[in-house]
Amino acid sequence: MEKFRVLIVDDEDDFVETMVKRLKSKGLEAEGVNRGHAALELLRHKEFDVCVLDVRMPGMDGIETLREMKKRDPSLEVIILTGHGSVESGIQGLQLGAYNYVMKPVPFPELLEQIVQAYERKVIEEERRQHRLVHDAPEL
Amino acid sequence: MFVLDAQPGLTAVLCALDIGVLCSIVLGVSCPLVLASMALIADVESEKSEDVPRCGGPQSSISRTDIWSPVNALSAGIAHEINNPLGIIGQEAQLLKYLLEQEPFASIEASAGCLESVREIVRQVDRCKEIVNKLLSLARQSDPIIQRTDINTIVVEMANLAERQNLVDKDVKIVRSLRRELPLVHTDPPLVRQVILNLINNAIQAIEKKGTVAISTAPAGEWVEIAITDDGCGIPQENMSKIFTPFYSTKPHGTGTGLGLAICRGIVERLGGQLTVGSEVGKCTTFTVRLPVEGPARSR
Repeated sequence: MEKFRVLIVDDEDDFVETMVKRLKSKGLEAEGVNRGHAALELLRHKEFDVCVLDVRMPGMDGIETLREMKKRDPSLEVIILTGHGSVESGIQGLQLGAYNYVMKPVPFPELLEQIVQAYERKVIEEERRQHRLVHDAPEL
Repeated sequence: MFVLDAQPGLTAVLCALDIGVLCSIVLGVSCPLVLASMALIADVESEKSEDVPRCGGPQSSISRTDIWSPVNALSAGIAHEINNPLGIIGQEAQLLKYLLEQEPFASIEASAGCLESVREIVRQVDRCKEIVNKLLSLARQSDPIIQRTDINTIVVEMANLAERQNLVDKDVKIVRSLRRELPLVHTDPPLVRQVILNLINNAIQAIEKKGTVAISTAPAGEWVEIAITDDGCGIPQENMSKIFTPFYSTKPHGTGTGLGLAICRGIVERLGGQLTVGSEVGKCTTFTVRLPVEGPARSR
């Protein structure tokens, strides 16, 4: 698997720890934090490709964190995790540009597949941006 | 007793610019009729999606293209202009709320009233943010990002999400009838998720107390069809042409923005597909999404 960077944001420390360990074992770069603010702080000086973000956290919730993340870096792909079904916040999250809205508990292979697909999307978008840069560049 | 849930400020702007797209629609007004046939559908994957009821009745086929480009430009303009001041109002209100909860204000009797007012400001700002988001979503013209997509998986995920939510005073059964041999579709997965979840949400809201939402998928030549049927009270014919028009909602005032279906149609058309509706008053409504298997023409 191509190496890319994943950020896990969840207030359940055990979940973060396990996820980071398992993603690393798959050869990915992974890091985790347990608050929305901490994630935004980390993103100020470090780039990630995909973020897995819990919707319900103390302090800044997942939706608000997503809004800020997308404002700062629209190319970051975000998968929202939710412990309870909330259609309204699902619609909100997708509208704000989340890649998916996934119900907890989610088996690791399924979540990994979502993470890989989200990364693929980022690569496609990046290629398109490069293509535009080349083709739209003024001729010298 | 249809409720028009237009946002007064934006309505005024749109009217002033003579776009002429505002009038009332009915969707989501519901009545407790249950289609007997729906109860017979097994809640399992099925080989035959013909089992699933489809609502006949008048079909809406109004084209979005003619009326939309000024609406899109205006939506984006308003949304961008409003976003920044709204953000500042929100942050200041949050700060004010925090201060009122601390000493010395917390122990002053008069603070309680102030705190309640500030909380209301925060709530209303959140509501405005939501409307702005939707306007931006409506106006967004960026090209879809095409990936090979399993539509059945998306439908299952979104139906599960809707099923797990706690519905107050409502008993809604969600049945799925998904064709296993559905081809993978070249489309934009998060956009499709947004459409499906919105349509399921609308279908649930169209049911007043007890009812069924039936979701089916089926291949149709070079297309894949997703149909979402509810046995709510349906849409009167005179409103059929208006339901995709922005700012129409029959949901109780303050709960709906009237932008959901407008956004859905915008997305489906960007994906090279069609979103149609058929309805019988007092019986049912079916929204059908058709997506091209090979993706939007531009991306091929």
